[in-house]
Amino acid sequence: MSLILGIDDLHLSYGGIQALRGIHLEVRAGEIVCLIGANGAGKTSCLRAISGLHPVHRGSISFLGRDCTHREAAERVRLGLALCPEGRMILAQQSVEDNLKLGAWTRHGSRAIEQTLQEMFELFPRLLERRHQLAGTLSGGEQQMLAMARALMAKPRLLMLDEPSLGLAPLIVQDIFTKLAWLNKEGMAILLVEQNAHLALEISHRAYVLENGLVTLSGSAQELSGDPRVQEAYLGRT
Amino acid sequence: MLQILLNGLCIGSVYALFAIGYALVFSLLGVINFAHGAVFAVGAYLTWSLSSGTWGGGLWPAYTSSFHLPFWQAALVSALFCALLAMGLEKVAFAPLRKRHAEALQYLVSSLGFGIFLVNLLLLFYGAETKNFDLDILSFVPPLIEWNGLFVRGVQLLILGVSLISLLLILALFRFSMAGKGLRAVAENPQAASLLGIPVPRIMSLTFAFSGALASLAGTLIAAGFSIPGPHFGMLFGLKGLAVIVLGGMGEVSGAIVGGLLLGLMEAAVPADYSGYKEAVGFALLFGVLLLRPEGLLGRPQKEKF
Repeated sequence: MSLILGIDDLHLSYGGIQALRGIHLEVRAGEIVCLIGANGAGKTSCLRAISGLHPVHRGSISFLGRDCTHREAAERVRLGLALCPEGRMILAQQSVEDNLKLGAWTRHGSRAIEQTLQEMFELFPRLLERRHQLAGTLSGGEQQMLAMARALMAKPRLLMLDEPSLGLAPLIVQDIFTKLAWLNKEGMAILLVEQNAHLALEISHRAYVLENGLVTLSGSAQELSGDPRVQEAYLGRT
Repeated sequence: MLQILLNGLCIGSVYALFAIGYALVFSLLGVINFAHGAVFAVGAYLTWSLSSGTWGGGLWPAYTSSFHLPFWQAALVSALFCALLAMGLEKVAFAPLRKRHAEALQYLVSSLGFGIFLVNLLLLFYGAETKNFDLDILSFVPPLIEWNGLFVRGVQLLILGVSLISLLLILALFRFSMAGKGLRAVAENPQAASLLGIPVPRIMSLTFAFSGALASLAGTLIAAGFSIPGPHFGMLFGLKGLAVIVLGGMGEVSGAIVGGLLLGLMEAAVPADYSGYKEAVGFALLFGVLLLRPEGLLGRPQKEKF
């Protein structure tokens, strides 16, 4: 399958502290790939580097065959790379609908955008109900849906999500993961960072385990779920 | 009473026009652009020169060219020039600091420095004498209209008309256009905005251009209505604009408008015999509002930006 995202020897540091120390990672068309690891292992740093929010020290990022290592974040969105960031970063002071429309900033043609908007309302009916409300008044689960829908408004080729389950009730988390699986079935490639390794491995095709800024294990989600080291450290089985 | 209202709205709407430039930059960067008043002065001088054909007068010898533009066109060219000037200002005094995650105080120094540079450039070129618009430049408006005991200078109507129309357009632009929503997105969370594909550096640049054009328009209107008492009047006006946004609420376009109109009305309410106390009344109002509502009339309580 064709390569969508290729990360090679990625190094990144925060004020002198090495957060990533040479990461290799790939996402191919049609895949869900997840990154699992403990707090501070470098998962979020990795997504921030890929989306262009944080400059890269060394190494390269290629997306759809183009070198993206030093492109502006906005430029990467235009190329089809969307991040649904940690903490959701919804625009609290604008309406739900405006949040969504701003998600389509890089696209042209109001009719096509309107159509995507309707698709998002179908996928997340709660957002249709809340359409004219300020985004800051939404519940946590609704905000997560808004953040996902907003990322999808750009019609990305790769959707990256950072901790979509964080702080949400199990039922809502289940709903969100069902939707991710559905999106993937429709052809969306997904790169998922998730603390809940159970859930993540369940819907993923492949997975990478990050420890202290390095990939220590990688393979198919099935293999990793069966690996005793993963079971012990991330799945809570002994 | 009606006379006061009219005079107040007239000057207040120009304050508002000017202060919007501060508010926009503040909403994006959380800092004050102290060169805004200097851009205002450049706009005033440029319109004066373009419409009268008179250049220089300072160390640069005075020179009268036969080429001159009608007032409208002069104002427009001057606004465009000041838009470019403000974009340059952003590149020189703001963008490098933003890249280094500078503190508010450092922006203050760099923008103030740029402003002082501009003012002294004007001083060098034009000298410190007062410049007046010739009556024939503004001959398209009647000098004085009397209506039911109300005295209105034609220029006042011009100022009021131009600035009120501009204010309405600006409000509509920021409420309803995608560009306005994008700008508000950058103001609320630059990282979130860039993740949506909004080119943050370009939005910064365009915002400066827009506020530069507004400063020039305000400068043109004030100069046409009164005079240009010397290059430093921009910095003084700049302080007044600062009072306006503190009054209305920092970083809010609507706050700048309300604050501007209010300050204008208060100043106009000062009787002519005490006109020396005009500024005092304005700043007393500012103190009063700050005591009761530190975030300004329409402001939201500020959270730390950095």
